Amino acid sequence: MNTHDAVVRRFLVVAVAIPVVVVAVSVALQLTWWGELPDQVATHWNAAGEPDAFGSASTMLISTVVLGLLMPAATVAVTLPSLRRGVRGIIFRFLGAFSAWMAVFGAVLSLLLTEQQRGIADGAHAPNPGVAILAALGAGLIVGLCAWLYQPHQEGAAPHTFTATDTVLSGEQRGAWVSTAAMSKNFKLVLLANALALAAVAVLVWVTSGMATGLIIVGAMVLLIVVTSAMVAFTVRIDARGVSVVSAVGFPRLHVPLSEIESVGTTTVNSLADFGGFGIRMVPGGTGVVLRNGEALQVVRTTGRRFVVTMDNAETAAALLNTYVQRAAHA
Amino acid sequence: MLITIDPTSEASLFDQIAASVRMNMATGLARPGARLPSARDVAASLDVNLHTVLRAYQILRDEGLVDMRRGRGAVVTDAAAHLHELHSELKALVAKAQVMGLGPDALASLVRDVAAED
Repeated sequence: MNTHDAVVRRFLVVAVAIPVVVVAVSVALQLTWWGELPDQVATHWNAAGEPDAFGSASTMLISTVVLGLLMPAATVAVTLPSLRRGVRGIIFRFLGAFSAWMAVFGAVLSLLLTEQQRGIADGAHAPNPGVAILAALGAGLIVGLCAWLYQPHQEGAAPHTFTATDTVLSGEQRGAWVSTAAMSKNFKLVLLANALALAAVAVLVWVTSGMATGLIIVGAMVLLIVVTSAMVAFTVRIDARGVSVVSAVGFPRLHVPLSEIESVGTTTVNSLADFGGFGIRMVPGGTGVVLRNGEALQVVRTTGRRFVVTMDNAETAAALLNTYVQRAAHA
Repeated sequence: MLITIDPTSEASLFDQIAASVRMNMATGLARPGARLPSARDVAASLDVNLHTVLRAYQILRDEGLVDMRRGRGAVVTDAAAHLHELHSELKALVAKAQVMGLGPDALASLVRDVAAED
């Protein structure tokens, strides 16, 4: 068995098999207690630990499945294609362990909350959920830790980076590069799914917990939409002054002046492995404007930090910027 | 899109900018529907007068290669796709001429002569 198989196989064990098994066991156990539960079970508690929302026992089953499988499913959908292609990075190992921890937390929490209500006549007498929450957190943490240790170490492959040596201008020529770096369709879909999920949560919270909490989540949703819509498209501009990257909505704006550029080149970006996601990403050693996977312009600053922008025709853009960097060096 | 000019060239700056944009259409860097960078930005980047860039864009509009709309800026038209189609044939022609020892200037004057025949 080579390590390539082990990475994907063990990721599937912790991110798919563990969530499915623990949720199935939790649902099965809750079904065996069906007859012992009150008509209306407590489904939500206030800060003092008193039940304040109720539903039928099936509500608890649905939340077991949603809590236990939604996050792992979303994580697997986002990461598995990259893993299968052979992309590696510590983020995948973390997300695998995170899936296991989320599933165990959700499955154990709803299991314990249901168990505490066996044999009571009315959900209003449901006991304080504090211990159940702590136990579920503990169980999730232990399984998550085991899932982390079970997976092999992943080293991200060095990206295919080229340092530009081409120059596109001769003599007294001047050049300007202007292009649009846009978010890929897949990333837009993820954004849309995020917004819809948050909207659904907002409606649910509004209905079950009242307007105040609902408004907080609506506020968070609006903020998320404003922030992410600023990340959908950027204008990349390269000229004698350096490189600037400006959001289509005017803000944020990033600029690297020519005097702070050490070298220019192109690279290949995997958003998750290299930057842990998309948008404007700050990681140790650099900043990325990451709107899709693939071709990107890479600038190495005089400080040693990298500035990366995913864009089409990065090679031509790099050649122009390199021309100005070379001119400045020989001036 | 890559726009280049040569201030030491005899050709006027607006003709150079128009030619450069046209070249982007031919190579496929500027496709139909793409928006040209704002004239103000191009002027700042190339350190030329704003009216020089506007004049270049007007030339392209007169050629039907861009559409100028208030509020939307200059947009590359479908006609630019024909330039892109022509590009591969032009490349083949230039390569063939080169094999025969015919430089690009001689080829260009030949093209002009052939066009004048009709």
